[in-house]
Amino acid sequence: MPILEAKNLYKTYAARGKSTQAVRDVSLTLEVGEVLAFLGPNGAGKTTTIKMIAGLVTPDAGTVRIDGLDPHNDAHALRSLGAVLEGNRNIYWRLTAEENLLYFGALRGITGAEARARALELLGRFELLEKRNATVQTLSRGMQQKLAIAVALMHSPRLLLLDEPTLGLDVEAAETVKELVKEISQEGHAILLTTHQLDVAEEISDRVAIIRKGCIIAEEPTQELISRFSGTAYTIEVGGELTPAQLAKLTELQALVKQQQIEFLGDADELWQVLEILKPLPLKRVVQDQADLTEIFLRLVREGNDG
Amino acid sequence: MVSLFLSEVKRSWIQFVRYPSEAITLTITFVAIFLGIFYGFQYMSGGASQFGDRLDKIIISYLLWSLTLYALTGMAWTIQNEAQAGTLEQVFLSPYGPIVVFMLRAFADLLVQLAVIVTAFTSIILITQRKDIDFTPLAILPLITVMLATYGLGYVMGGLTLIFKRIMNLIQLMQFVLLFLVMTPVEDWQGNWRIVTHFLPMMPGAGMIRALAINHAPFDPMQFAVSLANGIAYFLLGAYLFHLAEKKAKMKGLLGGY
Repeated sequence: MPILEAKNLYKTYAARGKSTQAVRDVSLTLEVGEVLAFLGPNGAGKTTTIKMIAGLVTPDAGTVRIDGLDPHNDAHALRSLGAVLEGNRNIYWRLTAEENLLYFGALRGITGAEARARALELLGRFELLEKRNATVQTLSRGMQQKLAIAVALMHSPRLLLLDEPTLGLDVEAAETVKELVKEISQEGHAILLTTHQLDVAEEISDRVAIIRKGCIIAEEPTQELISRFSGTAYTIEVGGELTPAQLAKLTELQALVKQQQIEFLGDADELWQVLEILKPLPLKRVVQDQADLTEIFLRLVREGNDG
Repeated sequence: MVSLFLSEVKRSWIQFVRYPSEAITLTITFVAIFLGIFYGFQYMSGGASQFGDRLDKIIISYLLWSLTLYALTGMAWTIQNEAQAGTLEQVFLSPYGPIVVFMLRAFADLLVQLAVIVTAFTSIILITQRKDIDFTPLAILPLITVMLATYGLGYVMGGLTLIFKRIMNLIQLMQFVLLFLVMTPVEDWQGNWRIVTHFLPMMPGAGMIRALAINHAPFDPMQFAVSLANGIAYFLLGAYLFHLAEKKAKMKGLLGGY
């Protein structure tokens, strides 16, 4: 059973006689141990969707199930959910790092003894032990964000919602948070992540969902999406001189030969033909030209806008 | 839930004492305002000897007013501050639900507030030499009923804050409504007006406290039953209205914003 099943979510906001359809027919599923990057331009409906999943915004239509339970009607669903929400501090600034962990542990329903043990474990794991007695307002932005994630993990939720977890962090702190997210997912937590840093999404996500104007316009495994949008051009480098016969055959296949480098446009079957021609020369490298998630994201979003 | 309550007490206490100047200023202000009221009243009335019990009633009513004022507005302040600080939505992610969390938080804040009030009360008694106030332990019972009704109204204020975010003008207005509710000497009233006060929030319990502590009246079980019914009814009504406000705030997506 998926840890998260959100089906056909709709949300329209009305203000001053004007209504805005924020989310239209959004469905998302997430399995244990999976990281789903939920991407979209500002105002596309990411935060509204995340808040509907967390039970903080009531959908006009559609259903949410976390571990089979409805967070809008069954508080037990919240025991399986942790969240770090964008634009929020998420933690108390007058309390120390450890006091925050202990308080939120109790707020999420774990016992005092469990909270103390878990707080120590997370402080160590997130390299905050030295700062355990420092009030939050004296911590760096990166440490505050690490603490916010640690707080969300206090009750070991199976589903973690991270809304822009690397926003406003310097390169080093963002790298640390990225590594933590990877580790957390490997431990079996499912993570739904929104970010504008597409390199981060590409590196740590198993799947990508792209939302534009409230609708999901693409959803598939990250590598499949990248492959689908990657060109069918290959660059092959060999470790010796090509014979005239090899050169002739390669020319027949429309390959472009530049000394020991061959550029070839074709599908995978044709690539094998090229490799057969090159036998027995040693291959130094065979590279498929890769699109990156940033290009794909911009292309999809612009296509949608043009359409 | 016990664990959460203890955590709320700890959190409330830490936030109170972490900045000692705030705690000391609060206590001194509390005593100073009272002394201003007390000596002003005494001056106008021509001396304590002619005013007798009424001064004691002022002391008890003032303490009751400050305690209920804190309970009435505490939830609204908490929600406004949490919305500003960006922690409000985390409270709503608790499996206990916001009604329980804010209730436990209000109880925890009350304990801290009691520490201030006991300090202030002792100072007031010493400064004003009113040693004959007999705060009988039985007065705790009607006090509980007053607090129940106050928390009910506190839920209403909290619910309004969820939707409108800033209700400071209403909170200021409520201070005066509260003055009427807890300081009116209903214990001395008779007839139909007395019956009407049974249906107004806090009034029957507040009157009973003064009757017990100042008039040294015997404990009246009937009056206590009325006070308790009043407290429970307003508490449940307030919690229900808060629940409706929560639903509306979630429907309109208002929880996170400020």
